Amino acid sequence: MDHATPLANPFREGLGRATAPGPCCFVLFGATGDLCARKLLPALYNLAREGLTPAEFYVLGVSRKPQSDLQWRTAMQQAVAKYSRHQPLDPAVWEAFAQRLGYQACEFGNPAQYADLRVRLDDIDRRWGTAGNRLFYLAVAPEFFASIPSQLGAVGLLGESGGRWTRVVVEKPFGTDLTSAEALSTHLRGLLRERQIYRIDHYLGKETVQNILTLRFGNAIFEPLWDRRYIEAVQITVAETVGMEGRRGPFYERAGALRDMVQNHMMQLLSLVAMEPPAAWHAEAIRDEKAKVLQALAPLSAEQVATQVVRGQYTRGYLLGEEALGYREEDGVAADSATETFVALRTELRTWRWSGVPFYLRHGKRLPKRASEIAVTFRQPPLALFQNPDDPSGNTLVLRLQPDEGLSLSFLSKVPGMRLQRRQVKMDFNYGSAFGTASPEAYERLILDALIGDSTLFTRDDEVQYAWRFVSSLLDGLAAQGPAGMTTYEAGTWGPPAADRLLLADHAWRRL
Amino acid sequence: MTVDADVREFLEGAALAVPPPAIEATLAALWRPAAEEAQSGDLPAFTRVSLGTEVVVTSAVRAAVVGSLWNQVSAEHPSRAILVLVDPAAGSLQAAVSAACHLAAPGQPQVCSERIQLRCGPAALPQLPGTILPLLEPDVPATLWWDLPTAPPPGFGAKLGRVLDRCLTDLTYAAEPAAVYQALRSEECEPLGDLAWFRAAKWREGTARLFDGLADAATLQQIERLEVVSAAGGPGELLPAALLAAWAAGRLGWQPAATEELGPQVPDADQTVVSRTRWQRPGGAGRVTLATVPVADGRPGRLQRLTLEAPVADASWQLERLHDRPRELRVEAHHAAWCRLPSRMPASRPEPLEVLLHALSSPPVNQTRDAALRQAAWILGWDGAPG
Repeated sequence: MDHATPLANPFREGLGRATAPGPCCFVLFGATGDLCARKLLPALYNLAREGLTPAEFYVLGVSRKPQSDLQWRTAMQQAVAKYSRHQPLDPAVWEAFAQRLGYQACEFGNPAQYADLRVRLDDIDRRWGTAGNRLFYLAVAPEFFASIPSQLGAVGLLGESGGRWTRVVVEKPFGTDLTSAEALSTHLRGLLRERQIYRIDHYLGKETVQNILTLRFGNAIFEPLWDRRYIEAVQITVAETVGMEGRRGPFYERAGALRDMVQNHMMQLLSLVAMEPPAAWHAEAIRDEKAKVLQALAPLSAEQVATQVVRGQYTRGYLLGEEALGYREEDGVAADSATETFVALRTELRTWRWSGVPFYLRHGKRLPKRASEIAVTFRQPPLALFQNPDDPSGNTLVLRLQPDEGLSLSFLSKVPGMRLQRRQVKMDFNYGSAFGTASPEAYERLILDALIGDSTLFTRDDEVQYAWRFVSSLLDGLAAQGPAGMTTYEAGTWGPPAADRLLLADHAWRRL
Repeated sequence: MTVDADVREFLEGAALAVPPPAIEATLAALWRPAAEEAQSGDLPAFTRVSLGTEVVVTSAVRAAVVGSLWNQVSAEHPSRAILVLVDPAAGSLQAAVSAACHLAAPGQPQVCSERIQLRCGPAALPQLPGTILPLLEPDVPATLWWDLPTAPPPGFGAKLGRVLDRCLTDLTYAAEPAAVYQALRSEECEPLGDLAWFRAAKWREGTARLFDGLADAATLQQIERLEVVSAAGGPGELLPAALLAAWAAGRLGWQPAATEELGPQVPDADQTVVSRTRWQRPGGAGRVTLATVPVADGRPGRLQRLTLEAPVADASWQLERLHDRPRELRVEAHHAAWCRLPSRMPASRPEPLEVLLHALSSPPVNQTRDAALRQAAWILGWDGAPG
């Protein structure tokens, strides 16, 4: 691993950011795609609106569709106007931003067109002062994650010389299993150094996800309790109400809940909540500790998968008074599909800190609510002073990731009155009301970090491999079960009842 | 600044129609400006409170009674109330939202909670779990009060039951109490509680009072017979008596053994034996008898008398409602060691609001309560096994 530590700039003291982005051309592959319109261009616009992009900055959209700069700008203006968190569009900001938007048609498999791309980029450097620094963002289908960098390398666009830098941002999924992830990793590392590769997981750009580290390591009251002695269980839930809207069916058929959510987002959440304190607030130190957590996730045997993992597929049901199709009835989904839309699992980390503590992970589509959270349940007091087996359980610290980002701590309190009756109450912190300022979109934070060269919130190669090692064992175990291992759940419910059997005694899935 | 008419109407308790998928978003869109207006002084100050989510499934004919009751409940137990009105005349699912605000104390902000009203025909009942589940608030108890006289449709409770903290019923007044009980049990509506339990709180207190200061635990082991008498009524109206008997037997450490055939009854103008069961006592066999007396005060099912007998010690203890003082219980013991009794204790019938508040403020899980209901269902023949 590269452990290059940037030189400290004494004038940055107190300015909140280690450095500012320098001149750069942002080369966006997949410029006509959904991700570009919904997330990436609005994020770039918002960064420009807040003065966070450099003066010498240019965004070059690249995609197969032939169109002019003006046509792409017009399409992007509509996208930003629709999807930006700042409404309405500021005409003056857009005008200045749009001047630095260009488009280049490119068949991703055509070497000649990469030569054209190089000519265009050199021209942009001369005209817009982007100094030869390039950030290639691969918002494309996974089959191009290997070929585009190869083509860029073939025309000399990945080299770094004379102080110029080149970075490549790769969207998920990074592989479809351990073998393919290793192959992709080997391929990219033949073209790039690890420090040039930014594997993006937009969950890491969320304020509340970043706040996990602040909460744990910026306060003295939590960390002394953060281990097997005081923590009974950890539950991570990412619940979605959506199904296969937006022609997502064909993609999801190849992915499924494990690949789409567990391997990346949920593994990252798990590593953040379970990692040891880093030696310093530095990308490599933090990623070292995250990687150790994922390394401690032992692959499950087929027998363990049978008792510790439940997968399910939603059937037709009702969600908020509206009928929802079953998964196999969705567009682009096979009538006999074996793709899971729900997965729940119980696992453990083989570390001194966490040995014996169950980690429950649950994710599904067409669940009753869109909500993501990490719930840390603490053990009961060592002496049951009140001797009432019916008392509600003790303390749970909940980190809400979305919506209503914030955290709450529940504890027992005496109910006012003559009787000695206890009830759960909670202290609540809400990002929306505590700071009175809107949080930036995850992609804004991550793009800015990539422009600066801060990889703290990006996934390192070894993290990806360890996560795949674990998830591949689940995929193998489930494949061995065949169709019999698939359960169903009605759309609008909290998943298949079989998920309850994963829980150890006295544990229950939280109702979000 | 002008206050949006919808926001003002909402805070004043008017029901605003809303499409079911937009319930949560509409509530957020109403509370946010309401809070801002209250801060700026354009609306009275208020605090939004939710101690839980209470889902009430009731019939259109009970709608006015339940709605009024819930207005009173929200003053003492502010929570998100989801009132489901099953109306044979209604078609598809319709929704409305309103606020319920009460002045907790002079000079203090109002305490506000919210009500979501869902109205649908019986055919739309299967849609309800998928509508209700997203509306349950996290981290506070969620209760289902099944107030329909008939059983829930198959699958209804199973979808909700897994995530609810408790179910409540009032089987005393159900047309088909056994069917409702069996359906709720099979639908995983657990833990299941019945309002009859909370109505009888004074009877349990009175029974406990009989044995306060007990010097010799062996006295309790000598009790062999337990009888509860209530006013005659329909099948559900035996539940209060069965619950009290099951609870008392459980406190004595008795375990259900078998039901007994009721032989030919001795003609008795005063009471009719309706159930007799055998129990396993720590020191031998015990017997629980339920009997009824003709309705005297227009209240079928009302508890009249509890008697505990220890023939070996020639002793008995009794709680009895007096005909001439229906708001009191007479507490009486016939035992050499009991010198302080008889006495009286107040036991007026609790108002429906009081019963409901007691139920909602009690812990969702209570093993004693749960065991008593299971054994009462066994006594009444609603359940083959006592659980």
